[in-house]
Amino acid sequence: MSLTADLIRGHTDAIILAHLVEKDSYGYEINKAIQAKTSGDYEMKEATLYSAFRRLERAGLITSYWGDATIGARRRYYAVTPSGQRFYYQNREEWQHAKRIIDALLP
Amino acid sequence: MSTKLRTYVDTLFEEAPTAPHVYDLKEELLANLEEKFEDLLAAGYSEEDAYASVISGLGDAESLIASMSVEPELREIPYEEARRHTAQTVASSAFLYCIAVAAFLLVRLVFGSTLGWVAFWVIAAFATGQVVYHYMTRPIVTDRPRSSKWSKKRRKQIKGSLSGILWVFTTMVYMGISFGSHQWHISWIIFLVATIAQLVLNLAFKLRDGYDE
Repeated sequence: MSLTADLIRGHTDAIILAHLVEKDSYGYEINKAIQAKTSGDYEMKEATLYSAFRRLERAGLITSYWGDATIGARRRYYAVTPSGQRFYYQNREEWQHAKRIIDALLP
Repeated sequence: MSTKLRTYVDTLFEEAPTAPHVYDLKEELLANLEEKFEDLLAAGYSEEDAYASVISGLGDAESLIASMSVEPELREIPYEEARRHTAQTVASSAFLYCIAVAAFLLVRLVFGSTLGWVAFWVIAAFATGQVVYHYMTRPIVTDRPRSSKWSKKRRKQIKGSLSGILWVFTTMVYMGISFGSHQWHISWIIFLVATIAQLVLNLAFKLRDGYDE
């Protein structure tokens, strides 16, 4: 179980980018999408998500902007930058590669 | 019930520094938590269960907030360093004013008084610009982010700035008037006026501090 968590944690940034490559989005929406894609198996902690946003933004992989205020507080949207896209595709390729190796070794 | 969420988030950020990017994170977090809370209610959760679920989904919020205080985008410098920087700026400006006077005397001797004045004002303008620039671009000093101690410290800084400007200005006016009119025997009065202004300033700030306690 903790091995699974560690494995996933190593891909937090790529998981977030995977969603942003599809469309601009905000924290809760990304988390909802993650839950939906994994049929509720995995949910990111808010703290993990928001530290990742800050880290990615500082690295220039994403940018952020404030959306229109609906009822209540404002939403902060994130968009992927070209270098963020490159990072995502590269990360995905590496994961495919690692997956082939692990599949071969742990059949 | 969403007030309960707001209160919870407020408590989380109690120890955080008051800076725009921290406030932004708080707004963002709250907006997302509220939406999740509403969704859970819509899915049939009771308010208590929805609240508990939102809180448990937060994770290690403390370390997230703690990491915000070292965000490099903020120009934060310790109080002592800020004071040293101010002292350096004011001292170097005072030095320049003295140089300006010397330049005036020297240039007047060689090239006449018009160019002497030009030399004086160019150097004086640079010295003044330096002080003004320093105070206008002064970074946020965040040793103590909140409480009355903070505003007291802030006031002390403002008082220091005003005093600095007062004396620099007084010296400039004194030089200007004295060299212009050659009434040296009387122009020193301006220092008396400045001293009174300083005393009034001190008193005003003392009264403000008194009110807060």
